[in-house]
Amino acid sequence: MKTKSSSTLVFSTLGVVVLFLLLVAVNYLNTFVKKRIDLTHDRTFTLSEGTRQIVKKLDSPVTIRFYATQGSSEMPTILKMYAKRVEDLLDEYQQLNPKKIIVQKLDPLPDSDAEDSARLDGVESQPLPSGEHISLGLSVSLLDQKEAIPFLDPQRERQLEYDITRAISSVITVNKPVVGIMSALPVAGMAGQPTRGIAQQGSPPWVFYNELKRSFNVRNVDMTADKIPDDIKVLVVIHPKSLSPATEYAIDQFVLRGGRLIAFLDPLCVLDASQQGAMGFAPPSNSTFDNLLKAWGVAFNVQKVASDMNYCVQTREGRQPAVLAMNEEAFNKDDIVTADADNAVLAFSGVFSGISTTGLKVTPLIKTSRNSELVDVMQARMAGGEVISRFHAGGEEYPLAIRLTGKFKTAFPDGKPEAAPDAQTGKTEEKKEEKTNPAPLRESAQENTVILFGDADFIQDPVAVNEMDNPFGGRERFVMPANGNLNIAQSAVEQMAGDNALIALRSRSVSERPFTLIKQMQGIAEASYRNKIQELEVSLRDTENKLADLQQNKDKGQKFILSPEQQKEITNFRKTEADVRRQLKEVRRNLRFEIDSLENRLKWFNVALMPALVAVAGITIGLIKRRYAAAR
Amino acid sequence: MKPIITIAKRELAGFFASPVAYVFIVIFLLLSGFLTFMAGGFFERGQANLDSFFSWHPWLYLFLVPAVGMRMWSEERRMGTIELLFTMPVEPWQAIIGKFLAALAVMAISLSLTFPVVITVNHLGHPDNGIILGGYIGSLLLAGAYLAISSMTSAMTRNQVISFIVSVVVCLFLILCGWPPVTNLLIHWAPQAIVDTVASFSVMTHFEGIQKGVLDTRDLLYFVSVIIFSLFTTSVILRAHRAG
Repeated sequence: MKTKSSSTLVFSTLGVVVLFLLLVAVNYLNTFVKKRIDLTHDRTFTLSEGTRQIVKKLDSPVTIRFYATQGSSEMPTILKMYAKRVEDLLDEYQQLNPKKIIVQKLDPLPDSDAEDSARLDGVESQPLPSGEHISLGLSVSLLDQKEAIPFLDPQRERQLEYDITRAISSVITVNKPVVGIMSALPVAGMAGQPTRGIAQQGSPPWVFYNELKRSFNVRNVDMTADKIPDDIKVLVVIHPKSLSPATEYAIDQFVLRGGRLIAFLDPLCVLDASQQGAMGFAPPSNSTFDNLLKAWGVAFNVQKVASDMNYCVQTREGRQPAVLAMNEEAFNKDDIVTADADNAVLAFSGVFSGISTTGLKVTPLIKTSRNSELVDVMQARMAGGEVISRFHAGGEEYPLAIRLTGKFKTAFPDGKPEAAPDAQTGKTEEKKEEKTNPAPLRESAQENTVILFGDADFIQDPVAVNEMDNPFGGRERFVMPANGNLNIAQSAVEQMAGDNALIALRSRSVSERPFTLIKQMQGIAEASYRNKIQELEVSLRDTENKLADLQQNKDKGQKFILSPEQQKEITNFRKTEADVRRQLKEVRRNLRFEIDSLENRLKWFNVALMPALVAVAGITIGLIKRRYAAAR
Repeated sequence: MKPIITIAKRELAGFFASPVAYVFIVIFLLLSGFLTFMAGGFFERGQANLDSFFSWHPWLYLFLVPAVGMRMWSEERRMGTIELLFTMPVEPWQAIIGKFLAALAVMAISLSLTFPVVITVNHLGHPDNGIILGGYIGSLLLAGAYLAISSMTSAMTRNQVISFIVSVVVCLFLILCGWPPVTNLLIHWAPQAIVDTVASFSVMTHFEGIQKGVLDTRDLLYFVSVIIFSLFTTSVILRAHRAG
């Protein structure tokens, strides 16, 4: 009896309600358990090794305040879904080190404490087109060190992990890293001074320099330095013109001891004001690392600049093929430094070549399109028109900026080079410090990375920023980035100055997976199409030339009356033109035809084939059974 | 365990003995193919993934699954064979699970017959096959959830049409309960906490979560919970009918 009544109880309406509440509770509790299996190929939803390293070795608690407007009507769906993904990611961080990562989730409603906190943290609300204000940002803080991401842009989702880890990394670093700047150009500004009677204007510090000072301890390193100070973590070398071997050696040792180098070399530095001396027309100034590049197995040709017909800019004087405005196709999306770059301007940039023979990995960061070629420096300085008319695409994508990774070996196997003899006395300086200096390094103990850019004009103010009058009427002019140049340069410095683990953090690919087969087919068809176009153009040009010849050989008196030969030629020309145009149309149709027929076949295969097979199977089985039943 | 398998096999044989299974499979394949390639713009999107295939499943299943599930218990009740079933040496819950598994097997067979689309997408490009696997797992779980609900509604009535309609309505509710227009309606007469809980019942968030390629315990538990709850309620209803 007892069992019967208890089972009646369980299986009653009450039982249903109880089970329902139980399941709701279990599901709710389970939201606190974040166990998941990431099936994706790129492990998009798992935190990377670099983040794990940084988070696991935290020794003081870091607070992450996540601000997201919750009200379902104001927040656009895209932002709401992104907010959820950010929240999930932050929970992953917390799971890595629950004691040392504190995640607070706040909704900055108007006039709430959360709103005040958001403002203090630097997370401002963003206006929507509808006029509403919403917030989606976060701040990372440790005691009084704070770093904010004022707005979490869904378009930057791939760098989200990097941004958060970098913010954590920067709040736990007590001292701002030291960044050294070595340059032949007046990066830090220059006081005006009269030279040989012609006043050389002073110049303010570059915007790049000022921006760096906001996040780092910036120090100037002399172009003649023979040792890079030990406390410099990142060395930014800009246009090292006439670099002495001693200084090159200093940079070599810097890299070998683990220092991070970013160098802007240039075959043609147009904005080198010091070149316009009293002499007038000065030879182009260029810069490279003779010995270092050789040791690293890459080459940088200071006699050539890259010209690219896809990226060339249009100025008032016409197209400038060597001044390149790159769009997002030119950037390496997998590298943090260029992952979200979508435009940049490089003026007379050199190219890097060579596969490193010494085991270093060479990764191009910025490259030209295939519609490019290398042009002599002297030629490039001439009017653009000449370069364009002689242009012949090389079909190669030339790297304009590269990253070298691996274990570096010294470029000076014989140790420190002799100091250059003093120009006036002809004597070499005594090397007194020989004995006290540490033994020269021959190879780096650990993996290191070096970033090289082929253009030094890249980060100069005239190229990188736009100045405009202060809209509020002050005397100070506002500067705004004109393109992605400063962003890229700063990303590079930030990444190099950060924790080693950050360098390895790749930008997560929300990867593009196009139909490669169709793209291939398109490519092949376009190639043949291109041949036909060239044929057409050649034949058109021929006929046009013939026509021009005929016109030249006519009598002076027959200026406006066409001779019978000319008339015949014109009709022939028109006929050929129409003929070739028709052929072109056919090629275009054929190009699409192949792809269209492939798509059609696939559609039939997928939509109709299997149902047909199943139907046939069903009917067959039905018939067999009927016969079987009838036989009985 | 054995009785469950016996019942499942019997049911499955029953499905394939009549045109039911074949018609269902053919229609499912035709519709999903058509929706993927014509309406879903598979080629136009230019991406080697099966988003345009899987995104239709919640809606496709909405109508097709109740069609399979509606006869699960209504038929038995109408023909009076339920009593016969329960006189056999089999527990009611085993029968319920057995029938459920048989219908789920039909779903699984239909899903697996969509393999041409996987071949196609791999032929055209390099898709993330992990995500595709996740897609199939999520789809099967979704079908299972709808099926369990259909089982529940079919136990309520002898009329298959009513079972079908009620089943569709319940599944529709599960799809829409996270949708802003619906939550905005609820906000007016319920506290935020309740509205959020109701929104979390939505099938879409959990389905889309698995579609991304992540098997999150929260999403898996959700589908399992729906199935457990519905099958348990089925047994309660059947017991009530037997008693009364």
